[in-house]
Amino acid sequence: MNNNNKIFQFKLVLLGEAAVGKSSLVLRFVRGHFLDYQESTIGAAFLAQTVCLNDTTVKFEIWDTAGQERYHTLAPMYYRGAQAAIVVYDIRSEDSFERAIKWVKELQRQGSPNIVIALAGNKLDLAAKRRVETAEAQQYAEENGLLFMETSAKTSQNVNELFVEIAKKLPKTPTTRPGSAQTQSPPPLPTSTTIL
Amino acid sequence: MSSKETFRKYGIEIYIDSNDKVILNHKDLKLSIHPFFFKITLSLQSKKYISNSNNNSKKYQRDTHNLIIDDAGIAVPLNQSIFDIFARSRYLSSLEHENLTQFIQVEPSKKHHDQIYIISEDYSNSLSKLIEKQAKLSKFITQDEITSISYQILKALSFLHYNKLTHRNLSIENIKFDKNNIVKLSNYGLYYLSNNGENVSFPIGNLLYLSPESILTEHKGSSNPKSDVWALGCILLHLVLGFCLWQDNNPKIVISRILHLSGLETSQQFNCDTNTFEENLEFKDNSNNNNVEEGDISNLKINQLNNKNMIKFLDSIGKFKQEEISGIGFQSLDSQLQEFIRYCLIPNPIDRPDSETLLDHPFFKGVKDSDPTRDQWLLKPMGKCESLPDDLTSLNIQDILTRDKIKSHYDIFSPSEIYYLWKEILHGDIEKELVLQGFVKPSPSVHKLPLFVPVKRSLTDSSTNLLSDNNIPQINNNNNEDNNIDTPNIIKSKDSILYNNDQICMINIDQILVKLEKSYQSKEQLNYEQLNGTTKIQMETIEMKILLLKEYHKLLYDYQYGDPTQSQPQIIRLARYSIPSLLRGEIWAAILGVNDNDAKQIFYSINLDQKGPNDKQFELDIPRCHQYHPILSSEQGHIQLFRVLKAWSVYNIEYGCYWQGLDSVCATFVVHHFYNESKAFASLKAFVDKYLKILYVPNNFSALSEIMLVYKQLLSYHDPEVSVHLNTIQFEPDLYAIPWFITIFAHILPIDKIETLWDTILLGPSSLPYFIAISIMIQFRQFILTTNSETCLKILPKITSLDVDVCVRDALDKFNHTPLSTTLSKSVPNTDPELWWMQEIPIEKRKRELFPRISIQDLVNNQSNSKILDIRSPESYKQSHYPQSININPKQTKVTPILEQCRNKPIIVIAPSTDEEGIEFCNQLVQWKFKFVSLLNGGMDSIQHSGFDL
Ligand SMILES: Nc1nc2c(ncn2[C@@H]2O[C@H](COP(=O)(O)OP(=O)(O)OP(=O)(O)O)[C@@H](O)[C@H]2O)c(=O)[nH]1
Ligand SMILES: [Mg+2]
Repeated sequence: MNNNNKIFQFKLVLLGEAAVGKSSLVLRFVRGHFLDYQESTIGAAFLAQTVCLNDTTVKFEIWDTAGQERYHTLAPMYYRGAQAAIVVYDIRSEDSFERAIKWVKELQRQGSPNIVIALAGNKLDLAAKRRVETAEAQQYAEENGLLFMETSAKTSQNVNELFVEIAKKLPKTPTTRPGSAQTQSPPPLPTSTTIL
Repeated sequence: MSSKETFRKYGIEIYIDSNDKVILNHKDLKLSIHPFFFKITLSLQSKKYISNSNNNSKKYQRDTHNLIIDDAGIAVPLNQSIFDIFARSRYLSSLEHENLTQFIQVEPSKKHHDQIYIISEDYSNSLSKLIEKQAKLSKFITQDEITSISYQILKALSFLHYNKLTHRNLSIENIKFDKNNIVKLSNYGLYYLSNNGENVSFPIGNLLYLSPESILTEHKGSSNPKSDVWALGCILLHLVLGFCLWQDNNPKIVISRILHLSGLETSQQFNCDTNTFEENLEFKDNSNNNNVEEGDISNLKINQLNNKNMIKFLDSIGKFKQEEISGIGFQSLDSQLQEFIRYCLIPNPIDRPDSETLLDHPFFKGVKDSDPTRDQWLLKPMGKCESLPDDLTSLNIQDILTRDKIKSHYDIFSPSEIYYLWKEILHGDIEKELVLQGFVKPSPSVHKLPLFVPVKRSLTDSSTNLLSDNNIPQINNNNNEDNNIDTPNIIKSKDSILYNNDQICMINIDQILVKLEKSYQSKEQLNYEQLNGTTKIQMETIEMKILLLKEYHKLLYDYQYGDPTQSQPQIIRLARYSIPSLLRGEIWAAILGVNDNDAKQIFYSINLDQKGPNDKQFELDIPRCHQYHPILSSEQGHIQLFRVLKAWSVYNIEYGCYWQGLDSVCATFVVHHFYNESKAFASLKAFVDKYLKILYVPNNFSALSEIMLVYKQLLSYHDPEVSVHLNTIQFEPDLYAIPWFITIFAHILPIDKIETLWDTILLGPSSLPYFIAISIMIQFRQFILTTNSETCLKILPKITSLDVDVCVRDALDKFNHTPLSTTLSKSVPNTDPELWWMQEIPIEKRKRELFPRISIQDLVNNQSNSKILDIRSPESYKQSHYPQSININPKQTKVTPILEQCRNKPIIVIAPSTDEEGIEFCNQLVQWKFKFVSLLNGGMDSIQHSGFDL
C-alpha cells in the first residue's frame, strides 16, 4: 500500500474526427454538463479533472484537440508525452471510425511507448442511427489492445466509466511523476509543416 | 420622378422652423404591432415544413431544444421556431414597395420567451373605412377609384408574389391608405412569418375572401399566390356592390357558398338559406344537412373546381337593381373591368391568371402609362444631407442648427429608422409601452399557456378569426363585445405612443416624434456632470444621431451609385465616430470596399451545386456555429452560412482553404447581410484578404508561429510582468491564442461583442488584433498573475466576459504607443551579407527574444522621451554614438539607478553587431519588468548604413 493517497498525474489527449463529440465528452467528464451546440475546437483546449480510485487519486491533464483534418499537423505536439489517449468516433459514421483507426495507428507508431489508448464510440443515445456495429469496434479494440466503450456525452452514459477504466489501467509507478503540480505544456509549434 | 422622391411619400420630414426648433414631421405614418404567443410545439411543425419544401438547398435538422431560464427561475425550452421566425422577419424587412406598409422587425418579448411582437408600419385609413364613409355620405366608390385601387393592390401583390410571398390576409381592413391616398397593403407578413399559418392558433385570412382551394386545403397547409388574386376579385366585387354577397354569421354557410360558387355540387348539402344570397341568385339548396363534418370538405378535390356556377352568378348580379345594392353595380362597369373581375374569380387556381399576368390586362393600360414607378421597385431611402465637418468633436448643436437652417433642407427616414431612433434615443421599449397601456399583462410566463394567442382579441383583426371548431367567433358581429374579465381595459392616455384602431394596436409615429422632440427640448436641463463632459456622450443627442443617419444615407448612396473613391474615405471618417447598428452591414461593406455589382457578379458565377471538398466539414460546423443567435440558428441562417462559406471555398480553391473558425468569421457577415448572400460573400472575401490571408491557406503554421511570436513580444513590451509570469509557468500563446488570431476573435466572443470589436478593427491597421489581444490580457491581468497555468488555460481561450469597449480603447492607445516596425517583418529576401540585420532570423532564435525589434526608422522618428541605451564597449561608444544615447554596461546584476530612471519610458537598446548581448540584456530588462523594451535591429551597423549623420 505504498501508493496510498498518492496523486498521480497523467497527460491525456483526445483525438478523432471533427464533431464526433471530443469536447462534449471532456465537458461532461470535467464539468458535468452537455451543450447541444458545443462549438468547434480551434487549435486545442485544456481541462483537468481528477478521478479517485480505491487507494489513489489520478489527475488527468486533458488536451482536447481540433478534429478538422487540417489541424492534424498540430496534433503531434499535443499527443507527444501523453500517457493516455481517447480516440473518439461517432457510432453513426463509418468515416469517423475509419479515421479513429488511423489515429490509433499513428499513436502506436509515434506516441509514447506505453501509451494507454481507449477507443470511444460516442453518441450512443443516437443508436437508432448506428452505422458502426459494437462487435466490429470491440473486435478491433481487442486485437489492438485498446480499451473500448460506447459512450454518450449527452446522457453521460459510460463517460465517467471510460476515464475510470483508463485511470485503472495507467501504470502507477514512481516514474509517473506523482503529485507534480506543473502542467506539461506541449512543445512550441513547428516552424514549418512537414506533414500535409 | 427619382426613387428618392418617391420614398418621401411615406417618409418623415425633419426640418428647422423659423423658431430654430427642430420639427419632426410625419406624414400619417404609424407602426403597428402584433403581440402574440407562439405554440411551444412549433419545431415539430417546422420539420414538417422542411420535408414539404421543394427547396433543394441543404437542410439541417435539430433534435434538441435550447433551454433558457425565465423570470421565475424555471428552465424552459427555448422555442426554436422563434429563431426561424426571426430569420423570416429579416427577409420581410428587406422588402420595400410603395404599396406595402414597411415591415420593420420582430421584437422578442423580454418577459415571455415564447412571445414575439411584430412591428410594422401602419396607417389608420383603410378601405373598410372608406366604404363606411362613402356609405354615410350615400356616395359610391367610382370606377376610377376602383381602377386605381385595384391597380395598386395588384402591383403590391405581384411584388409579393415575385418575392415568393403569399399575402393570404388580403381584406378591406388590410388595404390601407396613406395621406396621399396611396394604397398600402398591410399584414402581409403574418402568413409567411407563421410558416404558412402553421405556427398560429388562429387561421390567417378573412373567411369572406378565402379562395376555394384554400378552403379545400385548409387542413393540409399552404396557400398559393393565386389565392390573393381570388381575394382581390372578392374585394372588387364588394366595392362594386357595397357588400359581400356570400356574407353570413355562420362561417359554415359562407364556406358552403364559396364552394358552391366554385362549382362543387356537394356543397349543396350545406345549409344556405339566407335571403340575399338565394333570392337574388336563385340557388335553392336541399338544406338537408346542417352538421357537416370536416371530412366532407376534405373529400372534395381542387381539380373539381370549375367556372360553371361562377359564370351564372356573375351574370345574375348584373341584373341587380340599383336599390338592391350600395355600389355602382357590376353592369355599369367598363367591360374590361368586368372581365378583370371575372378573371380574378375563376374558381380553379390552375385557370386563374396570376398577378403578374393580370397587371398586363389591357384594362390597366391607362393607369400604367401614367405611373412613373410601374416597374421599378424602390431603392433604399437615401436622403439628401449636408456633409459634416471633418472634426466631429468640435461640432455642437448650434452649428448643426445653423447649418441646417441655411440650407433649410429636409430629410427622410424610413419607418425602420424612426423606430430605431425611438429605441436608441428614448430607449423605447415596445413591451413596456404595451404593459403600461394595459395591452399586455406583466405576469410571469409560468402562468401563460404555451399557446399562440392574440393578447387581446381587439388587438388583432377580428375578422381574421376563423376557427374550424365550435368556438367560432361571430364574423362581422360588432355587438359581440369581448366581456372576458381577464381582458385588460385599454387605457388611452394622451401621450401614449400606442393607440387602438378598433382592431389593431398601433404605434403612433406622431407620438414617437413628439417624444423625440421633447427629449430634445429638455436637453438643456440635462445634468452635465452626469454626462461626464466627454464629447462622446454629448454627441449622443437626437440631432447627432439623426444627423449621423442622414449623413450615412447620403454617403452610402454615393458609395453605391456615385464615386466610391470619394465617399469611402468619408464613410471611414464618420465610422470612426460611430456606426449605427441599423446600417452596420452596409457601412462595413463600404469600409471593406465591397462593390454591390461586382459582388453579385462573382457570387452568382460560382457554382454552388457541385459537391465541394469542404461540404462535409461545413455540415459539421454550421449547426454549432454561434447557435445562441436567432439568425444563425435558424434554418435559413444555416442555409445561407453554408452557401456563403461554400462560395468562399470554391472561389479560393487554388490558394486558400477552409479552416474551422472561418465559419465564425463568415457568420458575422451573414448576420449583417442576411438575405444578401453576395454581399456577405464579398465582405467575407475582403475581410479575409485584409486580415487573414496568410492563415486560410493549406499550410499556415509558419504564419501562425510568426503571429504568436510577435504577439508574445508585444505583450512583453506593454506588460512585461504578465509576459514574464506566463513564461515562467510555460504558458505559451499557442495554447490559447490560436482561435483569437485565426478568427479575429469571432470564435470566442458573442456576436454583439464581435460587432463592437470589429467596428474598430475594420477601421484600424491590420496589426490591431495584436493590440486587442494584449488589451484582453491586461483586462484579465490580476487573474492571470494570481493563478496557475491550469486555471489560465481553462479561462483564457474563451473570454466572453470581456469588456469590449474598454478593450478597444486600450488597444488603440497601445497601438499609438508602439513603434510601427514591431509588427512588420524586417527581413528582406536575398540580402547582401553586409546588411546582416535584414536577413531572415530563424524563428527558433527569435523565440528566445521576449521583446520586439524595431527598425532604424522608428529610432529616428522616435519621440523625444525615449531612452536610448548603447550597450557597446565604452571605446566604441566614444568613437561614435547615437545622439542622446546613454552608454551602459550590459552586464548588470541588479537594477542600477540609471536604469531605474528609464522605467516607464520607451527603451531602445543599441547592441554590438553580434546581437547576442543585446538579446540577453533586453531579456534581462523584461525580466526586471521594464516596459517598452525594444532592440534596434542591426544595432550600430544599421545606423551607420542608413547614412544617419552622427
Ligand atoms: N446526441 C448526441 N450529441 C452529441 C454527443 N456528443 C456530442 N454531441 C454533439 O455533437 C456535436 C459536436 O460535438 P463536439 O464535442 O463539439 O465535437 P468535437 O469532436 O469536439 O468537434 P471538433 O472540436 O470540431 O473536433 C455537438 O453539437 C454536440 O452537441 C452525444 O453523445 N450525443
Ligand atoms: Mg471540440
